[in-house]
Amino acid sequence: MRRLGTSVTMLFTASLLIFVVLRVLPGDPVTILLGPGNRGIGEEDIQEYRAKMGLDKPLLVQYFIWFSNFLRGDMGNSLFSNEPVRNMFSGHIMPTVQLTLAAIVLAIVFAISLALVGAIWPRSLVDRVVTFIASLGMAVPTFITAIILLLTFGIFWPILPTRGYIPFGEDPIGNLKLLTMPAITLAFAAMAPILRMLRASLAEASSSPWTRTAEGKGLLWNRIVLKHVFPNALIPSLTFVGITFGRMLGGAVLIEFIFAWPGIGTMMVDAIFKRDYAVLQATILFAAIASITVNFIVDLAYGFVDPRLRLKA
Amino acid sequence: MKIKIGTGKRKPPLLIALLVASLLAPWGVPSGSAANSVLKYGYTGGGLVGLNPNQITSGTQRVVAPLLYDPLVKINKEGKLVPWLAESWSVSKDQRTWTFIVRTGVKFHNGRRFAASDVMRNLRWISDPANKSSQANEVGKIEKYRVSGLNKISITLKNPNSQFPGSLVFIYMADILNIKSSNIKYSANGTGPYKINSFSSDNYVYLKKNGNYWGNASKLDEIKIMRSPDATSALLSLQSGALDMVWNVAPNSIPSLRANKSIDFLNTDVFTGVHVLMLDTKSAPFNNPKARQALSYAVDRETIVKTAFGGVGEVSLTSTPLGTKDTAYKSGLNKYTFDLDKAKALFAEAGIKSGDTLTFWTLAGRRFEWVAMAQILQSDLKKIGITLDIQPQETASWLGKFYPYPKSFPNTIVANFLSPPPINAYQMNVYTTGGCECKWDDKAYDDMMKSALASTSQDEYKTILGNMQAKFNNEQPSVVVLTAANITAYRNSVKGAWLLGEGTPQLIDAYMD
Repeated sequence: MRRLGTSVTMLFTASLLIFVVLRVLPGDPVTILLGPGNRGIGEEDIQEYRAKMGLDKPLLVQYFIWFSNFLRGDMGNSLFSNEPVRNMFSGHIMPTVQLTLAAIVLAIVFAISLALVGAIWPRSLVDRVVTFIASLGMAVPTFITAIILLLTFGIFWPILPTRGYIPFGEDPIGNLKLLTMPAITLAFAAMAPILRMLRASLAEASSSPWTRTAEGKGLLWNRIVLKHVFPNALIPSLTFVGITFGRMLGGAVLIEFIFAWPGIGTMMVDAIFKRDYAVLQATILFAAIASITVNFIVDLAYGFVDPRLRLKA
Repeated sequence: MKIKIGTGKRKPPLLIALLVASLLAPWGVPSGSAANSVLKYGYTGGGLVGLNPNQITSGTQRVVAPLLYDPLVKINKEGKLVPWLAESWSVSKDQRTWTFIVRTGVKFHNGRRFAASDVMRNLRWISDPANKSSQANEVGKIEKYRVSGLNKISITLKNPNSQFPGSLVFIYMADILNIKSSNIKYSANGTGPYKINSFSSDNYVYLKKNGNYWGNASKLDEIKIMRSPDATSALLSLQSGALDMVWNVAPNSIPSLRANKSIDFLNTDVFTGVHVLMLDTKSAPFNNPKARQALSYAVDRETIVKTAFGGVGEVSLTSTPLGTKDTAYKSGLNKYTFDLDKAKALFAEAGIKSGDTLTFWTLAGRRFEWVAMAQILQSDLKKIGITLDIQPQETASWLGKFYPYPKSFPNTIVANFLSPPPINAYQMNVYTTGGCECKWDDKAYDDMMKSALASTSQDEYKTILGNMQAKFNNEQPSVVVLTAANITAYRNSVKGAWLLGEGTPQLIDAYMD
């Protein structure tokens, strides 16, 4: 309950900060909305439109209106398209959730597989390859990974579509084909730090006294790694997976931009450029909620992974 | 004792290799390769927030509007004004009352018949200040309407205007009667060759052929206009065939695209868009015409067009809004050939000395050609001791610096691209009082504009436009660097698309080979 209370306080503070900071930024949504090509528009027209949108009210009043509406489930309307933000979310949330889940699952599967391979055959060629992959994932910017994939599987060996999104329900195969490259790109970047952390934890756990005891008892090394070393090495990586997952849910902006994947990240960046306050507040708050929720779940998951932590709690 | 664990015990399982191989296995034909009757058009910026054709704030909306809606008159491929929903028109002797005969047999997408009264409704909607229409300035000149029968409308203007039909080329006819103001952005009920299939704000709009179109039947079944936010991946999608056409290509991408034999660029005979350096003519130091002239001399247009714009565009040595191929272009004006000595002398006369700093305001993350242009100018100004502080800004901040009129932006050079209706009078009209954020207000120029619009003789009209160019050339309210169009790259399987002078691709006649 205490954790829940802290999370709610954090969300409230985040919402207030987001609200104020956005309005302090230079640039006005109304000037963008009416456009520089709109001859004959003057400052009085801008002010009139601001008033129509409620942007002329004191900041605290605006915040109160927005927050009370938000609590009632009304996230407001986009200043530009006049579309309810809730509807906009419904169009963008599934692509984000799908991409994030696919990427995190791929990242975890590959990180665990490679880390275990490295732990089972330490200091072998395979282990060196694993270390190299981890370093590569850390060093290569996501943008470059994406472009390499696009060039390879979109241009030179055109087996995958390069852009766009089709809902899974509409065309499952088309959806998976479109998902492949963005998910791999995102997973590669997310996998590297998880892999490094897990590999280091496994190495540390491998040289612990209880590992030697287990080996002394004649247990097979594979079994020692999988049954004893791995669960003990999992905790630090779990934290990192939680942080990464929460961050991804907030929108993988660059990946979404490159692959024209219409997720929350694209929606957020558009809203930043246009100063579409209602959309921006909702997307940033969503990112904060996602991050806090995932971390909350990770906190709870510690107890399942390590019963000692459950007892301490 | 140190225990060595797992040395050379086992080999990596085959499973890993299989997993990697399965990821690399072909997945069949990419979704990009659809049937030939579908055109996939990509745009890199944002801006497709709504489908209201008379509330346009982005270039992509200009591409979509003529597909869903029709105007009364249109500019054709040759740059000539041609009848469209208006079959014919005539004007009174005083050039104030224009009578249009509209086509019969035209229907909106919902089946309702289009009539002359719809013209009035649309023009009224546009002129209603509450709607803040982007075309309000053109319609604002109307004094009254008279609708006679189903297909005749007379429009009386406040002032004589011999070029009035030209102002209607971007005014589209929507079914105002059946569109509530709240959903006009989404209900694309026009008379155009394509109907709306689905629309996601700032994401995509899918159009399907209008089988009941009054004009020539469309050759495409569908046009998919899709956003590709990242420019690099948009061009890769063009090369892969996932897109057939990409609008607003950065000039620095041209050389690599030219290497691809299946890609071409839309071109036009007469460029009507202008890249300008906008200056605040009411604030120091650019309130002094000599400072503006000095800047004009300091701009190395040849190098800028060649390197920053990839050679696409026409150098504007006379620094006026009309390109050299325009019928009203005035030759023989002073040429602002790159001359740093002249620039230095004029800057000094205007009080700008060695050691002074000017600010260059440009966009960040897009319009890379402006940043390159700024860097060339920065390097040249440095040679005469003037520092140019380049400030790339995201759109909201860039716009907030100079918009709306009459915002003050002293000591600042703002890069901008102007694309008024491709009619020379309207290109010149931008600089009449209240029209340009540069705040230039020259009564003589305004009077000449009125005279040009009132003129019934084509020769007189051209002469007046020539005098206006001379005035502009001397005063330099903005420094015109080049006339150009936004660049559109396309796969050469696309045929029939063409470009308006300011760079809007026209897809109405497009088809797939």
